[in-house]
Parts: sequence; C-alpha cells; structure tokens
Amino acid sequence: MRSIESSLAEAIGSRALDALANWKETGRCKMEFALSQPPGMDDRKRTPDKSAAARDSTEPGWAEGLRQLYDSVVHEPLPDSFDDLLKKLDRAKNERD
Amino acid sequence: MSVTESSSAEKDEVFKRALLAVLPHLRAFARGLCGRPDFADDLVQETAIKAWAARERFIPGTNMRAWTFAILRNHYLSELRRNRHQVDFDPDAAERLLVMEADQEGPLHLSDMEVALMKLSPERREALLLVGAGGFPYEEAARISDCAIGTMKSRVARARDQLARLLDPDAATINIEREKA
Repeated sequence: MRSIESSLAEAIGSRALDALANWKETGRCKMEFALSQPPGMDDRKRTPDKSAAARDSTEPGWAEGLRQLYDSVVHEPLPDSFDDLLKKLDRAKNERD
Repeated sequence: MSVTESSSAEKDEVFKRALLAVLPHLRAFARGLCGRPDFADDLVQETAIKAWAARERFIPGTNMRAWTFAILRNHYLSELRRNRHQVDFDPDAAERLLVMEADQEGPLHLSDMEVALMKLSPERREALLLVGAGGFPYEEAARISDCAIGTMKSRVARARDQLARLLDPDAATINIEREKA
C-alpha cells in the first residue's frame, strides 16, 4: 500500500511536470509568434502613447470653449470697415511704386 | 504690358487672394490677443497693409496664415509698447464674473472665456491662442512668437493650467491636490 506521502509527492511531481510542459509550450508559442512578426510589429511598441481620441476624452471643457471663441470670430462676416481694404492695398502699392 | 509685368501682376493677385482668405483668422487671433473688437480690427487692417507692402518677402507655398500672424503679433506688441491702445480691463470685475459662474450649473459662456484669457500674461495668451485655438504645431507657433520651441511648450502648459484654475474649479482642485501629493 502506498503511503499518503508518496501519493502526494507523485501528484505534486506530475503537476510540476505538467506546469513545466505548459510553460515550455507557452514560451514556444510566444517565440514562434514573435519570430513570425515583421520588424516593428512588437505589441509593446504598437500601443500608442495617447491617441487623439483619448486626448479628446480627457480634454477639459474650456478647451472646446477656446476653439469656439476663435471659430466664432472666424465665421463672422467681415465688418463694413473692411470694404475699403482692397483700395487701401492698391493705394499702398501705388505709393510704393 | 510686358511678360515680366504680367507675371508680377498675377503673383500680386494670387498673394492678395491668399491674404484676404486669412483675414477671418487674423481677426480671431487679434481679438483673442487684445480682447477688444475695434482695436483687433484696426490691427488686422494695418497687418494686411504691412503684409501687402512686404509681399515680395513672402515665399509662395509657405503658410500665409503663419506669416501674417507673425506680422500681426509684432505689430500688436509695438502698439502696446507705444501705449496707444492699452487694454481697458478690470481684473476685479472679471473675478466677480468668474465667481458667479462657478456657483452656477450650466455650460461655460464664451464671455467668461474671454475674461479668463485676458487674465493670462500676453505671452501665455498668445501661446494658447496659437496652439490651442489656432491649431498651429508648437514649432510653427514658436516661429511666430520668435521663441524656442521649449519656451512655447512651457507657455502653453502654464497657460492651460492657469486657465483650468480660472474656469474649471474641479480641475483646479485636482491640480492642487496633485501638487500637494
């Protein structure tokens, strides 16, 4: 009759052997995957620092307000005072000539 | 008209069209810089005339917006130095407006943004307008402001932080806690 100790040692030993086999298999798979990838395709390098989308999601509310402030002026029609600008430009050109 | 004159006239016409196309952006930049629509429009018109007079120095194919922004910025600073158009700004009134806004729920009003912008130093305001609003890369913004790229990055970072404190009390609290940690 086998002692409890020997049965336990056998069980632990077989588990250790299984774990070692799994570890080797996993390592082999990882190595094969790495070798099959073209240079520059390392997963660690592929992770972006911070995508534009991520920046947008963390961007404070006022950042959009700042752009809105700028864009609101960009989209304003030019005031009447600018009507004479072309004439001023021509005048400046004539004065220079 | 000779071929040379014709070519020169064509180049002038191309330049004029490009110049007129950037006027809205010049107005937005000038408005952000000085905070006063009337003064901003004067600055833009004077900038356009300066740019037109210096058009032979413009390299076709380069960025007309960046080139004219640099002219406007330099003109603005020289005007400030001459004290002709000092910005009429009351920091206490601005503070009261900001405190009122902080107690209210709801979207940020643009007028508060303008008030907060005017509380920044001219260098930081300019940096934030160029990079945050105008969308210029740091390198180009640094060229417009005639400073090192590291200086521009630092100005933008400090301006963002200051603006966050002014406009977003929650963010300001987080920042202060981070600084304490």
